[in-house]
Amino acid sequence: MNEAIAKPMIEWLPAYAVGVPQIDAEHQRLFALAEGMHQAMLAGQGKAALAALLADLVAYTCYHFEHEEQLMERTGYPGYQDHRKQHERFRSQVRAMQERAASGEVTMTIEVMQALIEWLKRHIAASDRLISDHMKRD
Amino acid sequence: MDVVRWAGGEVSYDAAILCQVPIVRRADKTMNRFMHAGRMSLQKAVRIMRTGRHSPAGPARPEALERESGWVSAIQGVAAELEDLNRSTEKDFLSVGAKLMDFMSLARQISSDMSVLSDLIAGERGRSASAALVRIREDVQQMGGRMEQSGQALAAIKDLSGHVRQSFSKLRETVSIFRTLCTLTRAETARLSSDVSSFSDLADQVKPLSESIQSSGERVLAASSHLDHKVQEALRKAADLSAREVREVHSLISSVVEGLKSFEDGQQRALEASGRQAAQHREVCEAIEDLVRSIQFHDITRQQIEHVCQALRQICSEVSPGERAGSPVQPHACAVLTLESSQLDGAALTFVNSVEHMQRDLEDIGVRVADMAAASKNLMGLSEDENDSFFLRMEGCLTGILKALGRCASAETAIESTASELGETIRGMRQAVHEIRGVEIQIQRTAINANIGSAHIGEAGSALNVIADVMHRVALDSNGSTEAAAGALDSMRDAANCVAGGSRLAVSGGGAETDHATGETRQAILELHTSSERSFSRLKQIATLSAQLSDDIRSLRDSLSVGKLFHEVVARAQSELKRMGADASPAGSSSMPLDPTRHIQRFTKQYTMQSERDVHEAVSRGEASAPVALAVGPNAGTADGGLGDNVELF
Repeated sequence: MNEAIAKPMIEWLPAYAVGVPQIDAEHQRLFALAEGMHQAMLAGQGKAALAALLADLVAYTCYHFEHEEQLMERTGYPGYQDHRKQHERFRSQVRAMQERAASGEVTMTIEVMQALIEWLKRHIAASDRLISDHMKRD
Repeated sequence: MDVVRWAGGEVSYDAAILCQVPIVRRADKTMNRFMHAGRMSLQKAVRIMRTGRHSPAGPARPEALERESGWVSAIQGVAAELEDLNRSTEKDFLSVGAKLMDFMSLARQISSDMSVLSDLIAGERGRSASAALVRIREDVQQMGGRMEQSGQALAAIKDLSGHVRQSFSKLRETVSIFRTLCTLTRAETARLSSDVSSFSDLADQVKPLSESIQSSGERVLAASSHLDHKVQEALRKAADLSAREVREVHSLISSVVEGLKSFEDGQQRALEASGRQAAQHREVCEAIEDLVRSIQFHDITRQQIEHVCQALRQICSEVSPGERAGSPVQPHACAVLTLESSQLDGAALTFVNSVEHMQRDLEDIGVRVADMAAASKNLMGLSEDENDSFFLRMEGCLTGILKALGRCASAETAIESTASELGETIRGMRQAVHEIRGVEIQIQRTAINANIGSAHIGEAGSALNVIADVMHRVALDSNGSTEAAAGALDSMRDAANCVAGGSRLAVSGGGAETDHATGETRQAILELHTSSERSFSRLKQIATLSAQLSDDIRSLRDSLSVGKLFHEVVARAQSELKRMGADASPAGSSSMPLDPTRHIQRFTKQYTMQSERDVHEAVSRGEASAPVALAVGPNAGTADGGLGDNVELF
């Protein structure tokens, strides 16, 4: 298999960098989680990996969002409130999904993956870059 | 002068050798290399292109050019610029070559992913999934049948409960009549016992019988009331459950049928697409091979330029330092310049065609890859809104089925529990009915004894006889109601069993079998979901790979800027060489015994690599003046600027 094909399907790109190493590392961690889930689903092991993924996501939404919100507050980011609401919505979404999984609903891997991809595409690759732009301007 | 004769005339050996031999040697090497590469895989060929060639020309030397002057300096400048051009195009084309393997691998990977996807949808796995859906639909329909059965049994219980209530509606009145009759019997027997001693026994029997009638009647009435209450409660609960279950079962069947239909549509599309997919992959591979061919054309062009440079530098090297400054261009050099200018002309045409081919090929590959990606999306009926994709709908459907299965199982348990409570109450009622039957028998026995006693004493016992007759008639009436109630209770027991059986498939073998069937349905749903999530991820992978390939192709196509540069540099070089040739060959120079310029011009018009090879072979054989029949045919060059016989490709 050559290099092009060995590339992850869901890959963090340097263009997504906010410029704060810790935040960027946490973003990369989320991309890695999504890629891991993608590989598990390809192998037909999505349901087995679901609980661990959701647990990781819940933990992620706690510590990462807190770090990001602290950064926005410190830098006086004007879109802080909107951004925080986006965090809150995703946090609720992830918790709801975890509760559903805990209640025995396992046929939700595609929905979880879709939500995660949407988040990566719309939030990290778009909204979070606005924080980076703001920090660069200041 | 030694000459080489050819179809277009003859050319001096000196000029021919000077101009052609290095080219011939290199051209032969090129041919050999390509022909050898043709026998190898594309990968090896690309590796040769990446690493196997060398650029003999050194870097540009502007400082050296500055030191030179006159026509030699100008020629060296042209040569240096052409060498720079070769290096630049080499870099670009190496980049193209390096990308080709990636393209091919990506195309192969996409094709392989699509095969897996097709198999998931329409192949063995797809057929299993489809069979699972059919099985789920049948299971759910059976469940619907059971629900229907439970509902009918509950309706029957409701009717029977009304019959039981009706049967016992006069029990209180009957008990009261019996008690009155008992009192009358006791009074009459007390009156008669002064004359007939045996009547004291009858009085003794009537007293506990009256008490027994009272207590049994009260128990039966209490049990009847309890049964009625239980039946009403069970009916309310069961009716609610049943209605919900029936709704859910219907909804389940609709979901499964819809899922099955979508799946079958997907299978049909997959079958249609699988044939197209193989053709698309073949076309992409062919387009990539065309691209390889275009690069090979370029390699020949590059070597033509390289040979021109060598010829130009050789001319310069043969001019002594004293002749360089201010002297006119020598006649044999002039011939060479004309020939090289012509070579550049051919190279430029070939190069432009080559680049155009490459761009067209890249465009073509891009379009085909986009088609493949679109085909894979259409395969699964993906809409623009990914949140409403086939997969999410399918997943929602499967989740709904599983949830409904769970709720149905709970409802079935609840109905079973209700049916069990009903059964218990019916058993209590049947016990009470049994007691009433006993009391009724005792009353009839007492009535018969009274009839017999009254008959013995004659006219005096007529009153007692009347009481006994009434008692007998009331007991018979009561017994009719009791038997009707008993029959209704038996039917209720059977109906209650049907309610439980409906929920647990008692008809076809019991709860364990139903649990097994539900477990199988659940397992089939989970397997179907696994297949669905694999298809989803595979499709995501195809989409990502296709996008990656499209981006790579677009960026490669955009980076191909050498065409314009090549045209500019070659046009400048040609102009310079022509100008120098024109300066050196004024009108009237045809007085020379053999004008090499004229012959070379004719030669170049019909120049092919085969002709070069023929010249080379003639020289190699040492033929001082051997006629060389140059193979100049109609295919020497093509009207559209293609290479024609100029190249021999594998």
